[in-house]
Amino acid sequence: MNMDIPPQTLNDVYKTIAQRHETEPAKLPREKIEEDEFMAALAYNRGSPLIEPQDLSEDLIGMCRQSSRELDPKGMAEYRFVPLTIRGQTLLVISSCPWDPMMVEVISGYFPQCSQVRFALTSPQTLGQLLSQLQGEVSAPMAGYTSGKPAAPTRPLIPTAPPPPKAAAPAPKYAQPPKPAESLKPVPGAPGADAGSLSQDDVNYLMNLLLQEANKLLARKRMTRP
Amino acid sequence: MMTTYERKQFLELVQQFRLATEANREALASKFASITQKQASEGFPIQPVLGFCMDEAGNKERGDAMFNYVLSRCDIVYWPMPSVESSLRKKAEVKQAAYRHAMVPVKVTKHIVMLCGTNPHDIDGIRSLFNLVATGEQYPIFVLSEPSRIMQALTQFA
Repeated sequence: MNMDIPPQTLNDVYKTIAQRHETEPAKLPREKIEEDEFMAALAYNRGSPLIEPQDLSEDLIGMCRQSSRELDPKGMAEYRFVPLTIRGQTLLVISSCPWDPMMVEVISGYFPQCSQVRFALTSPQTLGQLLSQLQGEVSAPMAGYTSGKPAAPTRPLIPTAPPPPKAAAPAPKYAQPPKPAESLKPVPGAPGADAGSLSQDDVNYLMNLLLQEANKLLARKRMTRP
Repeated sequence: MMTTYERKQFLELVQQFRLATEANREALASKFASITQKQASEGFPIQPVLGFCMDEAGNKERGDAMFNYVLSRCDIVYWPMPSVESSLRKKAEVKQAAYRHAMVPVKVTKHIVMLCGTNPHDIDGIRSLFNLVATGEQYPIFVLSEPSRIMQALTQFA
């Protein structure tokens, strides 16, 4: 299963599973952990509901259809999410990669009225089934879906910091919306700075900034039906 | 008498929405207590404190604002379609705990137990319902829904 999970999140999941099996994370036979258990531990760590294939009821699909009628299915597949519902200013989204800041950015751009985005977690395969059903097709895994990240130009070029480590606790954990892309450092060359001496790092930084903005624009365009 | 978790939510809501003045706050609390005592004695689901406050809010918009406030103040995920896990609908002890806490077990699998309620402060409810429905070392997940949806879901118990 390839979900592009941040290393820290992955470690936390294995810690949680190890705790359940009353063993040390290092002694946990990772290759023997079933996908169901892994997803359950991930959902528990995030405090998110977990959507599994048996949960894809007509009601759920109907709500998704209602919430996503303005969105392009290709865009949802690319960014790996399906909006489920809006309550007040809270948007509930089904996603297989809720930690992806680019996806959060795209969603925020499309639902500006929602100040909060919360996630229900699902596996890439189940998300593929959901998207297929939304399009009225026979359920099938999304072609090429698990092969990794989408094409490079659509990804943010500035890396984001991994989330802080969480301590395991017996009570349910509650989800925090994934943080948006890390705030940018002050731009060298701003009024008062020495504008005449940009280093190569500064130039790279500015180029990244420009590309990131271009990606955002492209993503928003892609999400909107022509 | 209100339990601790009810009182916490009650006080938060009456203060935030100015439902009651200092003078009549206790009157509102005893109204809630008498309603819930009657429901308990008649074997009906106990109305959650959030539902009571939403009713007292005066109109639907204000009631909705109350729910949205609760949702925005906590990190618990909203769940739009609470429904009692079908294998548990005939279990009397689960029904009793669900009625008492206005909380339903939405999903029970080999690895998770997902509970849906209306009060983020109700740790007792989560614990007691989890202990009743968990069959092993499942992970607990708690989600929030509107009191009306929870009350509707509670009618699914036999």
